[in-house]
Amino acid sequence: MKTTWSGTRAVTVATLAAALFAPYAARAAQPDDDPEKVVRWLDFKEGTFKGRAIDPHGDAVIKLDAPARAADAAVVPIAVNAQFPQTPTHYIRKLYLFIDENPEPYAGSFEFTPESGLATIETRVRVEDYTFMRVIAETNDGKLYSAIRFVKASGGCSAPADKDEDAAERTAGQVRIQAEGQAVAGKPELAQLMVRHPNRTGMAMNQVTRNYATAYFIRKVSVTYADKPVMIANVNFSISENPNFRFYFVPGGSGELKAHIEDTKNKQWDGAVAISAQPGGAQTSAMK
Amino acid sequence: MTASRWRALVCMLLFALSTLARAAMSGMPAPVAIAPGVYAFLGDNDAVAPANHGIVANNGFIVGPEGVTVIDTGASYRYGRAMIEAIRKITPLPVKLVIITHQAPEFVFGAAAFRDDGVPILAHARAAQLIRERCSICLANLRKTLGEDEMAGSRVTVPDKTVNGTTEIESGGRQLQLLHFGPASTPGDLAVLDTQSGVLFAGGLVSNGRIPELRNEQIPGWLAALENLHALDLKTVIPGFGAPLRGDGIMRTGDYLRELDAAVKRAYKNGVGLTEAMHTVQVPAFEHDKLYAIAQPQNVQRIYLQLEKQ
Repeated sequence: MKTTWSGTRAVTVATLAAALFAPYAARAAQPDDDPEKVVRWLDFKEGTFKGRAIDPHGDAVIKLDAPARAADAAVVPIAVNAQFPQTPTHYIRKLYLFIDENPEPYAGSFEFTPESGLATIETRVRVEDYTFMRVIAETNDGKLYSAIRFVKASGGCSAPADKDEDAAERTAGQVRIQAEGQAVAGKPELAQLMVRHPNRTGMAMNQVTRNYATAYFIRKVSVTYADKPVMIANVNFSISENPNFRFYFVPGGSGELKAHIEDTKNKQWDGAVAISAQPGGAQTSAMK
Repeated sequence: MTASRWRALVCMLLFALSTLARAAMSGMPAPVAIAPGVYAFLGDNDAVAPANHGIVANNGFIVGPEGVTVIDTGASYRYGRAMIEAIRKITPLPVKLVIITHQAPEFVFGAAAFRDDGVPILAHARAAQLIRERCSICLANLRKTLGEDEMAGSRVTVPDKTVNGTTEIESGGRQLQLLHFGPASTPGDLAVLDTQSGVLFAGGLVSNGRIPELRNEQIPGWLAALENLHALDLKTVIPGFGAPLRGDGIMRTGDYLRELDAAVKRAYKNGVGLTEAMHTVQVPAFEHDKLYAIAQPQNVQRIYLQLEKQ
């Protein structure tokens, strides 16, 4: 039952069928398990970080906020909160998100720059079952830090039964990007990006037609302010339907905040909003 | 081994088995007599957990001159069987009908025990549809929480009789009003009013001392349903969760829904993010209710995501 979503479709469907009919053959992860002994994580760690040390007590760098119990496994809100502001000499370059028990555990990465102001990201993810969720932060000096949470997610047992997949696909790509509140020059400003998109896993059976729709999801989000990158997400269907990202950027006097989005059918969309920031005074940081 | 020792061993085994059978549903509440012929099993009102065997919600039965009507069936097959045994101790009359008030895991899974006995099972058509489409997921969740043993024999049991709106029926020789006020706590809520006693089984519409878990609700419809029930000026209401109430007591469920809805809308309008809203949006008057710590952030999330879609 631990085959990956990247396997053949037949395998995927068979796996799902097995999961439906004998959901308890595999032992569910438990909060008191040792998170450093999860095989899929160790494989990923070795493949991605090649033996580089990861500081497991990354509290001074990032904090991961995720609900201990999630009522709808398809939409689990998470926040990775950076613990210091981005400066040219000291900043978080990249966050990796890994959800151990998901059929495809690696959910993707988020890249930041000094212009991000704060390498904080909020989004919603799909979570399979009871699982560790971990974020690895890579700072500009190449050091790695991790934050980890255990999440118990349940299938939404009363979620609206079925959606119109065709309609969801037709309306895909509406992009909304906005800044929250009045921007102040030089101060990290919170922005929100929403994209209408089914972000299908390819693993959910339509309860009416009994068919599986193919996987179809947003794979890349690039956000710039004044043409400089502030947040780049390389993600997959672990991100929930209608992907939503909250992140920071540092506005100057005036400039445009732009988002460019690409999905797995190579459809591309753009969104932009003009930001006119108030002149900055002796403002305190927006950091939490 | 001598024959007498074999006999002793067999006797011991049989005794052990009979003890097991008796203890098969530990935690089963005794039925409480609410009115002549009207009984309720009151669950412990907490979150579903191994310690309470999933016996958290209320259900009950109404004994008429010709038979018994069961209202809701608990979270497992085992619980359904225990209900049947408990009913037997009150009356030898047959169970004529099971009514499922709404689609929720704590109410539907005992139905399989009644189906095994050939009892018809009735629900609103929308509830029956949701049970068919969604309850395999609820069942998987319950198995994970309560374990295979506790859930042994439990299966999705789709009601075989449906109603589409408020309907008056005669069951077991008693007049029952099945009240439907449109989509409310779920798309297919029924409340069951026993005409003779005036006792109402409110199902998913009313919780007492426990935060309702919003799963498939429509708050305006739910508030309207509560107003409708309130107008009936009922003496005794058996809520889906918690102790029986007088008719006035049901409005507290509405107070929670209104305050929650307003607080989430306020946060959303002020640009508060979802994660922060889940931490900070509170309904203080209800924070000592059961399930608050678990259900409050989940309810906030549910309303927040609906606002986002508008």
